[in-house]
Amino acid sequence: MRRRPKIELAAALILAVTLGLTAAPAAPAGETVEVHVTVAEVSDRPGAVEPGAASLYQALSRDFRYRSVRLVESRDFRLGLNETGSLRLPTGRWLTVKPRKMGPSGVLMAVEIEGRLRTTLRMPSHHEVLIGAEPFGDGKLVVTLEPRF
Amino acid sequence: MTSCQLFETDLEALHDGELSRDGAAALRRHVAECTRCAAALARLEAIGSALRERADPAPATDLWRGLAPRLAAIDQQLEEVRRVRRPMGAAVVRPSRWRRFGPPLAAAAALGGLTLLVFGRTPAARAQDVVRSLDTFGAPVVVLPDDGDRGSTVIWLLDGAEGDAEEGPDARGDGHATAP
Repeated sequence: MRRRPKIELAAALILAVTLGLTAAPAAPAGETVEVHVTVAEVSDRPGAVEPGAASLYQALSRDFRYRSVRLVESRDFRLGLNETGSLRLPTGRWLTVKPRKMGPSGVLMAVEIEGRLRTTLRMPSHHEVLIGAEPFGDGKLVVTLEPRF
Repeated sequence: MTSCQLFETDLEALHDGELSRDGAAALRRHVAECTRCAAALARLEAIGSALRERADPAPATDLWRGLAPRLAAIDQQLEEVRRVRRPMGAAVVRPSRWRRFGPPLAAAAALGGLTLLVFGRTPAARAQDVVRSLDTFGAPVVVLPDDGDRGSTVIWLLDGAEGDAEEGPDARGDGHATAP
């Protein structure tokens, strides 16, 4: 019988990938989630990019042309499931985050910016979500969320 | 706590295929009998579809500012395509396959490159993976997926000036993306 090494190789690769995926560690259930929150003002106004906002600037710089980033606040929440973390934004609105469920593809997180946004996010650990929330100062208020577990 | 509240967070897990077989079966039995949970599950499925359809939103004002500097590179690519193209002369020689198909292929490749430059990202495979529901209280919104380069997902609410002056109808987000 004629051997087909390429097909066998492909099958082996598929098997290896499948095993790798199924063996991927699931997120721990029932534990707390650390949520790193930063609040920043991005602006067209010439100015500095503050050191604490460098990653935010880098993430935005490909699609947006803001020239200055000012870090307004940074906060770490350690939250259990269905526990709510709240932060008052400089615009007066409340930001609330609530981890609702852990799963293999990340934490299911309910996020609300009072009167502006209500969203549910499935976030892998260390995946950052940037929210351009509302006008603020000369520019825009940006909230970043990053869960760590 | 009502049975619906018990099942509420499991709906997301069911939608994501993360429930055990028994758990999924139990929840599906409940969904079959409960119109509220059935509607919630339908909304979850709708938001995934909506984000897939909106994977390539029209560029917003800020996006355009970001893209404008790349136009020089696009022009350069088009110029290279023009140089590859042979003048249509009076030669009776039958063109080789490369001469016949080369310019269209090069043009197609350049257009593909141009598309990548303009839209700047691979298909938004992860947008609907991360954003599961989105309600912006009627404001237009753009969702930019993590394409690997950016390393983050962006949800950008457009305020009046951004939204009214520059946005096309395709770029307008669902004010209530959770409600199909």
